[in-house]
Amino acid sequence: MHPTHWGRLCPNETPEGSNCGLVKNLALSACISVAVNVEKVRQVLYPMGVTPAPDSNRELRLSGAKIFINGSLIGHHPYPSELVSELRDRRRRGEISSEINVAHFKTMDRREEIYVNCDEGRVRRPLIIVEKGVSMLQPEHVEKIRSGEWSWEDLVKNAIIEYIDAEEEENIYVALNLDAISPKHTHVELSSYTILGICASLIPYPEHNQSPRNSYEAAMAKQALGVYTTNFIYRVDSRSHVLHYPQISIVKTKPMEILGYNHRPSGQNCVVAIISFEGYNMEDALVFNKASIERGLGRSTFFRIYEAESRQYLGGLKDRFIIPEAGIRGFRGEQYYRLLESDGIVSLEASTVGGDVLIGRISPPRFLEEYKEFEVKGPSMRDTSVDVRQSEAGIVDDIFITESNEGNKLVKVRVRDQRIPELGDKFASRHGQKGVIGMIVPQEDMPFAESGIVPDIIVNPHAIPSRMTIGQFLESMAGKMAAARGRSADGTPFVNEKSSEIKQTLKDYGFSHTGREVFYSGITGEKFVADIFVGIVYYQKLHHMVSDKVHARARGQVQMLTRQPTEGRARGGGLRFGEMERDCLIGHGAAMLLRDRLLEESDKYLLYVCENCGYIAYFDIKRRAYVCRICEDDAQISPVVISYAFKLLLQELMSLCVAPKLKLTERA
Amino acid sequence: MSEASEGLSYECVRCSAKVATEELKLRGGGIKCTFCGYRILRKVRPPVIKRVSAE
Repeated sequence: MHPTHWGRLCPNETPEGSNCGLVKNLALSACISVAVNVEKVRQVLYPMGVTPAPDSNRELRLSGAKIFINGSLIGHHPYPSELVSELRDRRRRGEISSEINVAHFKTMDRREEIYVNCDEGRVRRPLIIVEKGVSMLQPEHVEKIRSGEWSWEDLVKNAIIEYIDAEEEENIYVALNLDAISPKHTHVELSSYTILGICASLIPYPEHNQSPRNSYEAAMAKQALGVYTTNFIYRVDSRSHVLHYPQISIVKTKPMEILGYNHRPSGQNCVVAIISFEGYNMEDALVFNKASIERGLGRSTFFRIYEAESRQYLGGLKDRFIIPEAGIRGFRGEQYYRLLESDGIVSLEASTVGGDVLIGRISPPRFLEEYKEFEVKGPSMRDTSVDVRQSEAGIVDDIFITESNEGNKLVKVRVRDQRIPELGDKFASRHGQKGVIGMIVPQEDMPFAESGIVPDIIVNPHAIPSRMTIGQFLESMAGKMAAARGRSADGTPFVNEKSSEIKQTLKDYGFSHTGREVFYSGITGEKFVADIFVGIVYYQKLHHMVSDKVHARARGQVQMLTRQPTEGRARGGGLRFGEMERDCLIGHGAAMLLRDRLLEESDKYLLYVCENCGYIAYFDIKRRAYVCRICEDDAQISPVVISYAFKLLLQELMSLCVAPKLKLTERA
Repeated sequence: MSEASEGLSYECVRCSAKVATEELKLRGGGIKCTFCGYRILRKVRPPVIKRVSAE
């Protein structure tokens, strides 16, 4: 990071992994400059005493300052400091564009340079101007803004706020807040929490967290489910998730309101207790309350769009939406078409599983030569129906029928699936504390407090020490305090409700200032020896759900080229047994298991090789034997067991005009 | 509700008018609402009683 990032790029919001540091996000108060005509700036500078470069004499060139516009030298000026302050005054008065920034550099050998920038693409940030130790922003201005009389532009026009780019920032001295202003300062920060970007601004008490944890949360906030827009019922997004009962977080930050996050929240406030519970929340797993889930905690719906267009082909042939008949090529079986209505499209609210056809469609053959010689009737149609993805299921939510740009009939089917939290679904707090549900425990087995409070989520205490995410503890206590007093808490970075206030308020409402409470075991009924830390934390449901990932394959499709199992869950693929896994089996000495993995369960192939010349022999249909073309009669053909990928390698080498020969020896 | 002989009709997304499939074919096969000309139609939910379990 570089000091210029302050107020311009978010220090925490960057992806982990290969893109780390390369993908950056703008800070909240940053804005990008827009170009101003360079000629106009030149016409302003020349009358102010800048001698154009070709006209400057030797003396001026040595003693005066060089003046640059957008990096190009345009002339010299004998009194640089006056020029700079005059330019800045004119900008504040509105006589020259506020997009222009001026920087004055004095190098060590007293050669001074003035850089005037008016090009596009500079990241600038707004600062309050300070004159003679007094901030230009006075209470009467704040009143005018509150009443609506003044807007942001009025503040800039009246020289209360100005935008500073990275170069001009070298010449200013910024006070962090109004109390820190001294006569030497030239500007004061608007609000320190605007150094963060959008996602990092959602984190409460982030200054109490270890910095990478804030970065993780900045990435996870983008994976959280919520209500992404209120018109999702009318939209045809290829995949979308909607949380059933989103809640505004009880511990808020000031930027949330500005960003509109409170209009589309993406999580729920949960009662979170920090205990080791029966070993089911080890290694970042979470224990959930079954009754809370039954009351709707973490419920979401997943929508998917399936579409089909009835295209037109050359020769007048076209696709048709119809329930395919049994004789058609590629007919799947009558049961798969059971949900289709007479127009070939599934009916609304039909319950579908993987493989069921949603849109029945038949198409003419791709290439007209496809039909065999003995067929008289003409091109036979084949089934190109759209079916539900193999591993998914759902209820047909809505169907839209329209025309595409080419005038073809286009059908879009939206299928919805309710996702109730189950073991394996991923949840996270706003402090980089992600975890997967390890156990769903009935409410009666949950630890309970005297008041009857039972946690929604139980987090393992081991998740805290190495991660140092104290912000979660503060959010927990602030959430508890906010729930008790009936007013949400402010967790904005640097200007939040301090821990001392939280503790005092908790005491006022009868809770312990430590945030801990007396709990009794739900199973044995005994009082726990230690008091348990419990509070309210905002948890987000992330879109990694186990039903989208669970996958199994015993035998199935293979690829055409390599004859190895296909890749990917959607294609019914296998999991790769990679090089490192191979090394492990070698290390164990499990040679037979390795052979199983790599040959029997993958691409085992019997290759006939001519022992004489070492090349691949081929099967002659007429003679019904394997022959070697090169050594006709001397050939000695033997079969070898290899992987098909190896045979492919041999053939690829042959295509490069390299002749791979196989030397065979008899198996001992 | 007067519907076509095969009992299948679509609904216009804009004016919620019912358009029968037979009529669509009659008017040249293009997808178009007979009343307002809107080109996006939606399928109508069949009057089947569905049992939903409370989970």
